[in-house]
Amino acid sequence: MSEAPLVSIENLTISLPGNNGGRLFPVRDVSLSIGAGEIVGLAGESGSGKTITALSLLGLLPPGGRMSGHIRFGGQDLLTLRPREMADVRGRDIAMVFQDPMTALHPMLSIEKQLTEHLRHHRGIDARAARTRAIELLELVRIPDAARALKRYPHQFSGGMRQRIAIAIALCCEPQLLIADEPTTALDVTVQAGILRLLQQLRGELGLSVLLITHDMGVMSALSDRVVIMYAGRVVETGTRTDVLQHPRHPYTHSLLGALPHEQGDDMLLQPMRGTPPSIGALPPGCPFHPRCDWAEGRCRDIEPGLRVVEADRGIACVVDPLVGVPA
Amino acid sequence: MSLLEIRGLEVTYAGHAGTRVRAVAHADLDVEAGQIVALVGESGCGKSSLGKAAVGLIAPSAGSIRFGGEPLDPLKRGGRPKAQRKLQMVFQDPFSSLNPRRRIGDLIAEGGRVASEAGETPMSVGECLERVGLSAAFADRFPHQFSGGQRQRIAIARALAARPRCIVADEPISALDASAQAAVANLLVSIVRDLDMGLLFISHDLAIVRSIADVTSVMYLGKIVESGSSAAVWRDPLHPYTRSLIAAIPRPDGKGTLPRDLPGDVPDPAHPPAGCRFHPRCPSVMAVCREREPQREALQPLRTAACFVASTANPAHDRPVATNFVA
Repeated sequence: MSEAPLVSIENLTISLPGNNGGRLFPVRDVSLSIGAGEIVGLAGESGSGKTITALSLLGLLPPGGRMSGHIRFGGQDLLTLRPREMADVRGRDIAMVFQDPMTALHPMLSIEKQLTEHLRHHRGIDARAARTRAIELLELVRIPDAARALKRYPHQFSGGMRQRIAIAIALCCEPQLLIADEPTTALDVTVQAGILRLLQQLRGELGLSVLLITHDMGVMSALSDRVVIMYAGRVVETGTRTDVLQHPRHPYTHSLLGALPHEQGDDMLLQPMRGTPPSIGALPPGCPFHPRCDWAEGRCRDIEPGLRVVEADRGIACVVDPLVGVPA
Repeated sequence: MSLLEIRGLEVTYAGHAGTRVRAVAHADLDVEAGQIVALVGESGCGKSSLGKAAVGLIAPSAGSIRFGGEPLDPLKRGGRPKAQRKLQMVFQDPFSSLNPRRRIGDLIAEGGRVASEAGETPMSVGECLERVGLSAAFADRFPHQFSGGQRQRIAIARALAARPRCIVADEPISALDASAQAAVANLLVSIVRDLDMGLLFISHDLAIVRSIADVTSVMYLGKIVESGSSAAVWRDPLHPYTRSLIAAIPRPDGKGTLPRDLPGDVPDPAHPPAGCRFHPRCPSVMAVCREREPQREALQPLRTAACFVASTANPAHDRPVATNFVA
């Protein structure tokens, strides 16, 4: 990218208090960037560190969490901000939608109250202007009959509509970056397709940047421009959507795609990956993926590979690099 | 006679203000020994209600369920009739289906008690564990010492201890990570083949179903709308709902194409639309669809669908309604 990216995470390491006074490192030396109007997909299995990486952008860590590195956003380093300053960035410049729209919305408050409260807090506008803006926002997320919808409560909407409302609330203050953490995981596929379309429309209409966190490689493929694959707290592969999904170069990405149902001639194949992801408290020495890797060599037990650039806009963290030039 | 034979099954629940919600409406389904039958559909379509009725966990309001030729009675306080104990269930969430305070050896042995009470030798704990790809040495451990995928293997081992002839598994892999999903799915396939068991696999994930099930039945709002061999249903869906469901699956092909969405929401099952239940969302709706409810008919050999559009496109097949076949 020639222009400076909107967000750039550099060498981010997060530590949390562990048992017996030790510390755990759910995220280690992670770097990634998101350009203006770009959708970046962050994928990995549960426990890979993708959600906590996203929460760090909002300055939200579990109690006792510490961060090092840099998160550059709009000319400042978010890690140097005071809590008050961070609170202003959060919700205004960077907003988030979560997996479960039922728990993200307050069940006892009308949609109008939830939308306008946010607007009045961050924008300081009067009730009438807030209501007008709330209707615009519901229309933006394609809620039919927006004026009437304002009077209703979350339980009166379906899961897909609730997620649209949660997105509308996130968009109240015209954020530059939307973090969407598994935004469609709780939804049925036909409804999921509608939310994916909406996110793509919003990117086009508002120039919104999106960090899409998902474990679903199909969802990632539908929406992302670039993808970042995490394993055991580290970025193992990054590149354009087409490159990574069609020609995965890190053995983990390759195995992850092989474990999904894929057609081969007339058959659908499922090739499971060996073993289970390591727990962050007990990482194997060397490359954290080596015990499950079909290409592991002796040196993989000794060296933990860092992410290195192998071609333009393509990085992998693997010293063996066995898949270079191998078709998917 | 199929191993598990469901005919005209109705499950109704009490709704608001005295209304009745028909969660399952006149469903026919068969599972043969050595066969994997998938029941797919979106949330609220009635697939879990059908599964629970199939093992006797809820009482159907009409219809019949026969297991091994014998009528299956709903579960009562005094336990279940011996013959029915050969029908076991595996649930979605292995975190809540295993008692956290008991060692997994005890949990599995308890499954085996069912076989002993029926006068059979249960499968030993070690054998069960090895059968699901875990070490027999794990018997002394507790559920929290295992990952999600391993816990689901333990739940399957517990079902196997009873030497079942058929397992009903409700979303058994949905709570697992992709790498564990593939392994548990393949494990279920190998168990069914090796032990010549029947498996009713309830899932919302058509792509997984396509890769493991012999037969796929698709449910929408309480009704089975299409059924056939998994490969045929996937390749050439007859019912517009099945087509929409397949088109909505995002594919990890790196092409950046958005999956197709299906406008509208699933209607309230307490007040299903008149005529075909899918007509308000159907892209190929015809006038007749708003008036009459289509019945399931055999449209191609070994394939059924309940759809006027599909039956117009596939002129009547002069076979009886075939629900009972091995793919």
